[in-house]
Amino acid sequence: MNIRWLFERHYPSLVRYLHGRVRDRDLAEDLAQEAFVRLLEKPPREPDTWLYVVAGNLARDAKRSEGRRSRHLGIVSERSPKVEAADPAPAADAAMCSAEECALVQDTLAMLPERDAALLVMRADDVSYREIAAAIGVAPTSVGPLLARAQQRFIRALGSRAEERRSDARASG
Amino acid sequence: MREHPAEGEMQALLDGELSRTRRVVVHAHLLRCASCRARAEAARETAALVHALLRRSMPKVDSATAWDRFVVRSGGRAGKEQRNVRHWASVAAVALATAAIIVTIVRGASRPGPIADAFALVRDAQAHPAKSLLRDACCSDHDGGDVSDDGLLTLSSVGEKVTVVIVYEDVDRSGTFTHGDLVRYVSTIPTGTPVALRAP
Repeated sequence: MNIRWLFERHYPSLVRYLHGRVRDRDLAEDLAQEAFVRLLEKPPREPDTWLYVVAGNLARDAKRSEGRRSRHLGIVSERSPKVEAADPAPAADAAMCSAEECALVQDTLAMLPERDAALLVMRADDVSYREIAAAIGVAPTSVGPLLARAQQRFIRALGSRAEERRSDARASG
Repeated sequence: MREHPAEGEMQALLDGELSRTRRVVVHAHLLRCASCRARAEAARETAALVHALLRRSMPKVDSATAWDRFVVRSGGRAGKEQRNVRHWASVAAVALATAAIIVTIVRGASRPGPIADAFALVRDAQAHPAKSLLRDACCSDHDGGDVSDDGLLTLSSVGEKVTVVIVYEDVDRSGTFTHGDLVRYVSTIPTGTPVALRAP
């Protein structure tokens, strides 16, 4: 097992996939590192798909812990506002798009069902159908139809979101 | 194929993820069904738009720094594993180089591929998605520079005949073959007929 090759190949997409799930850049990096540590400890037969499955489980556990913590603090929210507010990384890191465009795309992704967002992010990273299927727990043959629908939902949601922003801008201006 | 390919099958075709058999069947259908060709083109445009928007807005990840952190976090085990791999990789590289020399001697002379405009070939393939399948495998380290910035792009015609092979360096780090990249090698085989090696 060439751990360096696996790291180069999967680490960036794992972080982006996890970022889509937990919406916290530091936590996403931490969980991706944890997935690789587990890979070293007990190398699986198919590390490529295994990494996404483990990453997905780690994200789920992290969200549960966050949910419990929020409840203890008496915050009634499905997703911790603190986490979202404390994560300026997507716009700051992505030098290739304007802050407005980045925010629009990220907002739109956040509006979609979790599975759609995960599908789109992984596919944009050229993750194979086999790996995507393992990560979201479906058959590889189901990825094509799910992806096609997710793309259409994304485009529709992006249009609505952009229209909302224009209306807000007109109202405030 | 009488029925029109389903939406998901069209998507899998675009992504190069359709099984070999289905790919041939769907390609053949597209050649004679104008409405499905239009659907394929619309699906390609949607996929390209979503892909571009997401690629541009996704957070950049510094894997080199992350690797260093990972080596520390794994208690040095990651670095040790990598040294073992490097040792066996160098052994394999020597073996491959020897094999390549032997093949060249046996074949008598190497045959360079014809010079072609890689970008024009790709543009043409993108303009006619029903005629040729474009697969862009980026990025790996093909040239031994210890950086995963080399891409291998192939175009195939119906019947899985590879007609064009392009090796490029992903200079602009876009993760796909773009105008900012350096073309290292282009080879075209118009018929897609596999090149058979002469027996020794």
